[in-house]
Amino acid sequence: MEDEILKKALAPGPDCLSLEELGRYADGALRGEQHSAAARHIEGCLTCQAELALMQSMTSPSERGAPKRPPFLPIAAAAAVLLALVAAGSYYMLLRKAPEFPPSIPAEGDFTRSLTLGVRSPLGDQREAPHRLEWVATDRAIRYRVRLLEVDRRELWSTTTTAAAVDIPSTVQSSLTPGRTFLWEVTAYDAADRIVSESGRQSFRVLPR
Amino acid sequence: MEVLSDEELIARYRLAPSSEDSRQFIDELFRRHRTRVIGWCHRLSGNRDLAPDLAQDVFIKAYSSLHTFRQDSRFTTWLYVIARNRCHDEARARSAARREAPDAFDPVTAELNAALAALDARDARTTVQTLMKEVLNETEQRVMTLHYGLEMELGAITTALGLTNTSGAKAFIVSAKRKLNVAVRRWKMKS
Repeated sequence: MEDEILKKALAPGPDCLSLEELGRYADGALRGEQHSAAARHIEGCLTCQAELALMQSMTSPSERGAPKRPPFLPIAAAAAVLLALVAAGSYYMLLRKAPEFPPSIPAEGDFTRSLTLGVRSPLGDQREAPHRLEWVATDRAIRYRVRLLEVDRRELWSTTTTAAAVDIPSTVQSSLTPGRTFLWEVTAYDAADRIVSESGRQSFRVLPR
Repeated sequence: MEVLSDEELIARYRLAPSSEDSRQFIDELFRRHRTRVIGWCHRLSGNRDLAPDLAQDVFIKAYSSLHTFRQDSRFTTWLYVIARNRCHDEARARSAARREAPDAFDPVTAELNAALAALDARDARTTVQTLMKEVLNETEQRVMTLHYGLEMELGAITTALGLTNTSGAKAFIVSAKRKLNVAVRRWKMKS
């Protein structure tokens, strides 16, 4: 029975949104009162907040917060796509046999490009020593290697994380003294440990007091 | 093919789902999400070795359920829901199979349980969540909710949230319970 009350208090309740509903909420597919009711519930419910935050951190880390987009593909647009495709002469496809399953899952070697990883902060002059490094999550990345350097490229601190941000330990933060410039860089790796994007060296300076 | 969006690939596939040629659309759709889904499964299960097998299950489920995909949300989100459910099922199955011996007596947990036991079951949800919002930071709230409410293993939570401290999610559970102990005691005195 240990922790039974915590489990009951935090398990999804009858009013909680299903995963599918949370997904539609996150994608901006709920409208009007449906959206308002979902937003009201999520605001007061730790369970739905945790599930939604987990979902957003996995699927669209750069779009956290309230959904902004209209429904992804309106019915009219979907119908237009279908009509256009039919008109384009896809009739021959109807004559073919059903595909066998499971579908072939291609090798990972398809992904070889290394892209530029966008950084958020800190950049440029800072009033105080930053306590956190933040960047834009990269598709396919499952971990990020972060390095904090002196201007002479000597490494001050490094770590690996799966999130698109990392807290700077207080011991390291205390060494970010005013008047000096520091460099930092992030490298994103995919599940096969290949580099998928790199930030290049970024810099910031803590303003003198 | 690569310029088509996920949803366009599905639309083309749906024009002739029984056509052999339509398979290329599904192959392309799954190819572009393969690494992403393995990454999700790794983060959601906390198990890198198991992730490819879980991902394969996700694609099998996605293929057989593709007709249920409503184009009012993104395919990525729809696929994530399948991955989340698969990893949740896996965690529950492993947990049931393991039936781990309970942790050594933990006075913090014991005290918190005793304090919470006094709550009326009907009020427990509201009271516990209110106290958690009052006294826990966001990471502590997330870790507690994912572990106790959504049945995620501590290792998976550490991976999923990208926690970089030495003992990962467990440290947040301990600190959260200490804070909750104090808050519940204060709340009981008030009421």
